[in-house]
Amino acid sequence: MEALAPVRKSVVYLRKPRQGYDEGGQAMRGFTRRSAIALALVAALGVAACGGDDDSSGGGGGSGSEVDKMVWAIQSPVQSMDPAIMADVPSLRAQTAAFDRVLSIDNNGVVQPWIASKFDTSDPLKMVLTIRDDVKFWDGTPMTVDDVVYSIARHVGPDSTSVNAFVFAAVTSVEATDASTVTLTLSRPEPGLPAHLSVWAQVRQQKYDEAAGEAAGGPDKPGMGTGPYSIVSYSSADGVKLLRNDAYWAGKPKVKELEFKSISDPDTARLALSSGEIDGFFDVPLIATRQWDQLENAAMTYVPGAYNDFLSMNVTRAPFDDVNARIAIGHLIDRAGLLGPLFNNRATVAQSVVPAIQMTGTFGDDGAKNMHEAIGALPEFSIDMAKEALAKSATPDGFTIELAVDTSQPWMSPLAQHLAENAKQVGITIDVKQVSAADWGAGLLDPAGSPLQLVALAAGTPWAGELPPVVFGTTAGFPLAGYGDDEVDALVGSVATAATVDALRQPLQDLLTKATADLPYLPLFDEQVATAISNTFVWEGGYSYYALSQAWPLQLGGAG
Amino acid sequence: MTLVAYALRRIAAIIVILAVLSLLVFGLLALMPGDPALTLLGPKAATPEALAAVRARYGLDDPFLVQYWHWISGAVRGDFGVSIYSGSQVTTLIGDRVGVTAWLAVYALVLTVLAAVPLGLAAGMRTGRRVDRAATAVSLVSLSAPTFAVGFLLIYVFAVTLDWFPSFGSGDGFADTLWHMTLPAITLAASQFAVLQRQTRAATMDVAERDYVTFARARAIGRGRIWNRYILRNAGLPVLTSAGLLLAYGLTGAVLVENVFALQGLGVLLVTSVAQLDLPVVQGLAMFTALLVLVTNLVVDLLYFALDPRLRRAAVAA
Repeated sequence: MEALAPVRKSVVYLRKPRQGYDEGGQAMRGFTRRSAIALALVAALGVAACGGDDDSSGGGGGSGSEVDKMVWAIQSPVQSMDPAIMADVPSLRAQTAAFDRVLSIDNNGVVQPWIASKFDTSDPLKMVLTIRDDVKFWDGTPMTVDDVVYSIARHVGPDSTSVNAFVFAAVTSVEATDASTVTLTLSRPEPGLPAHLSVWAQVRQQKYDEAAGEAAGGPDKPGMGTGPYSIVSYSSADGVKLLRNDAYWAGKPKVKELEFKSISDPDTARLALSSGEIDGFFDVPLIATRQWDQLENAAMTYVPGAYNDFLSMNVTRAPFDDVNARIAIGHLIDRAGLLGPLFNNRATVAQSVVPAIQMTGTFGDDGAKNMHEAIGALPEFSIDMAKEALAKSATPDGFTIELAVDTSQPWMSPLAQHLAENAKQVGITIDVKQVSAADWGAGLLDPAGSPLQLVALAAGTPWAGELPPVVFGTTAGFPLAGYGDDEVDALVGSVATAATVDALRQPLQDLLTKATADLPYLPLFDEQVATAISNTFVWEGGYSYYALSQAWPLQLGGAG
Repeated sequence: MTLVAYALRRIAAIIVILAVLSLLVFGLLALMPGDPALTLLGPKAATPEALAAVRARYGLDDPFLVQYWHWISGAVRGDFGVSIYSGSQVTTLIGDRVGVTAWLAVYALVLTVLAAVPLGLAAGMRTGRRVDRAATAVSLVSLSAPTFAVGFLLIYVFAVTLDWFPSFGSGDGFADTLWHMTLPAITLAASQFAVLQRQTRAATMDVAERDYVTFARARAIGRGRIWNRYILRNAGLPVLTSAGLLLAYGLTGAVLVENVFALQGLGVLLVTSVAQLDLPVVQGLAMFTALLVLVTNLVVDLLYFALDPRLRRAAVAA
């Protein structure tokens, strides 16, 4: 969930690196609501089926030395300290530094206990959480099982106003079964639930929130939590200041004060890091990493992300109702050749709409390799082959089509220009239109919009079955390509309800094989996630794509 | 007409303008495509219950004018509602940021006046000479240099290389804020310099060639007196108007400067809220910035009125 660029929200995200995902406005909201439908189909994390158990204390405090202060820059202001109100990634950075989550996800993408010392999902329609009894809020009062129930239940049910309510759509009730056990009842299997609880189920004190009323999460009443840092001050203009919780149940963090400041321009952030005014910056734009790599006082960390960039061709509309037209387009993009110019080689050519990190996370390295070999090869870059494919299509003389590019995503415009230049050689005219992130988001599902779209999604879980039901099938949350029939729907259904790796493997392979042949989507790139951190600090274990599902400040310390 | 009467008349005009503007601003909601309840619900789950709550809260089932009346009643009390996204009061969001913007606008205007007026006067009095050519060159550079480029150049030289000033942020307390705001203010002032310098030059040239100045010189009146009584006072009026416009521009948010220096001011808030379609914030900001511009213009006009006895006499005669 981590590297979801600042704009993404929750499990499947439409990526828009600069502003909040929310800036998409009306249509974007449509997206997220539709995604709720898709999320209902999201398949299970393997670990979810068997649950987890942890008797350790959590292991706080990294291997680094004690440090007085660390300043992180984030790309937009923290809009709320309550994930029920705002859950864009910059806000989540601060929220997850302060508030514990019920569960966590480790660097390998495996869900682990946290505030819940055990979780049991052996019954697909029930999840039982065993809650730790040694956790206290910042004000010294013990955390109770009722606080945990409150922290989850506020996202659940038709009355919930939480922005994450759709994530918990399958949950029908959250109850304290006894003094240390919370039971979640589900209307249908929801294998992604443990992963969702590791981000959105932030433990907040019920009494505090009820007293705060509508002010909860805002600057005056940001919240009372149990996490590694308490909130000293918060304002959307001045940022967030946090102070170490010396009594933290999982061990005392090494950094005493943590501060988040908003710097929207990455160049300003780079200069601020260079001058030592900030100590770290998340989500460095890959196209600019060459300059960031040259920083003498900071180190860059690159990790695989569950980002997936692809070209969508709506199969229900001309000219892409003809597979040969789609194949022709597929031959016109030199995906490997663009890795350097667009991402400084900090990305790989995507093999499918399932990010590589999910493939390996679910099936292992060998399993992922086998899967990629089985689903077949995507069209290679070749103008001649594009001409041949176009000649077989219903539009052999070419066609004219519009392609909108989001100006806030640096890779989109040059890729579109590259495609347009190559397309010109085969008689296809692509009218590249530069639009704002909001207009780009609004145009994606506009029935009157172009059938050719550039899309960037980010997955929220390590499960390879997460994204296919979101973009394939007639019940897809984001039916961008309109790709669905009985056969596809049956495969999507199998993928969505697969609760184990073995159950997922074959239907996913069949679905991706069919999609590779039919080409409703041309997978483009799997992007890495770049983070810059001052040389005076260390991140024990290294930065992870799943950091937002962890008590990540515990891993920070001084380099000395 | 006295100064007070003039001011009252202008204030009445401002109220009328704001009333008309408020109608237009509120009309934004009605003009938005789709269900206004969905717009106002923002990213929250669009359950029937949530939609019903939004409809009830904003009175969306009422006729347009009734809705407008509810909204303007709140607005007059400073209540523009809450941000769709953060849940914060719009007035709180604006209040958090207006200080940064005001600091930047005023500081930049001071720097602009200090640099542009003397140079404009000198150029206007010595047209075609070296000082005039130099001032023209500086103005040309000021006009041509992109604001963001000037900002990054200043950051690189004075924050990264020399470490004299911070590269971003607005600081706490007067001294720290002054320190933080220096580079942003210089950047904004650089973009404003040419306007004021050229205006001052033109006004000075115009006044310096007037008969009454020539006559004053012929009467052997001292240079200082000619400058103070004849040139500066007359040339100052159009300069004052330009300075007022520059201040209004700065107060409405110099978004490029705010963005480069990561200042959380009104400009950035406006851009963000427009991009997010955070309508209550957009509405509140539109009204607030309109008020700022109108009040700034009023103050400038009053100063104009106070400084120019001809205007006062004309008003009295009228």
